Amino acid sequence: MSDNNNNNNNNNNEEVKKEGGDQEQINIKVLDSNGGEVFFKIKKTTPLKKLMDAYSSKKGVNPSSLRFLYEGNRIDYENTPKQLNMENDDIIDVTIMQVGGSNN
Amino acid sequence: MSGIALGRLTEERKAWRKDHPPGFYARPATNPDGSQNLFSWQCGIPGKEKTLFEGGVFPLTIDFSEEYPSKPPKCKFPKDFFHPNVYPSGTVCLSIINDDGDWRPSISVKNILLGIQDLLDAPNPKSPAQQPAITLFLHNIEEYNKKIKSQTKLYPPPS
Repeated sequence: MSDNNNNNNNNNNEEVKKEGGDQEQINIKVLDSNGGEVFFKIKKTTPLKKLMDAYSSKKGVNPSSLRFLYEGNRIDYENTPKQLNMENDDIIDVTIMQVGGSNN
Repeated sequence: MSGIALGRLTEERKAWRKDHPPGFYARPATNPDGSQNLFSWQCGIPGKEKTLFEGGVFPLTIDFSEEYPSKPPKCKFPKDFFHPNVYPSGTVCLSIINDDGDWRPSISVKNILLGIQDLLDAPNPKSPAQQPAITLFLHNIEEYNKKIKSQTKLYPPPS
């Protein structure tokens, strides 16, 4: 897997691609409970917080009121697509979180 | 034989990842060594809105045999799941996944899960699979509805 392209081994920058995969962007579809879809492109090593925040602001809601699920499991802010073994064209499910009680 | 089943399951997995109905999940089980077991899937079926199942996500295991897709997979809710067409073991009794019924190899995992979601709120009293649920359904619908409601609370969405 290691591609030893010996030209410009620039050692000053972050993460020259190692496994050929880390810097690769994947397409992710965020699917809401009504079937609405929003598409994102994200690097496999970028924390998914970025995607969640972008989705929330696009929808004009507080990120904490949304629940993002991948394969039925809640996604944490720090999780990256790589950690969760996400692939290109995978789906993230989003639902509105219900909170009991009346004061926020 | 196993090659056919595995090939089809790989395709089903791929198709599900790219496209699935909102609120559902379906993932192959993980072996002790961390690899995936495509012959056993852990799934979640959301209850439909405006039914007594709304707000619940019901866990279902689908087990495929080497003879899949010639033979249907086995679908199981947790043991003692309360529903007229679910056996005490949790096994779902539904025509489209019945070997002697309407099973066809072209039926997808998505079709199965959507079919079972439909079944939740539309039991078939003519083909009961357990005593407690069918008795209440036929003779005491209020108590039946109460039981269904409290069961739904047992299965909140993943958090």
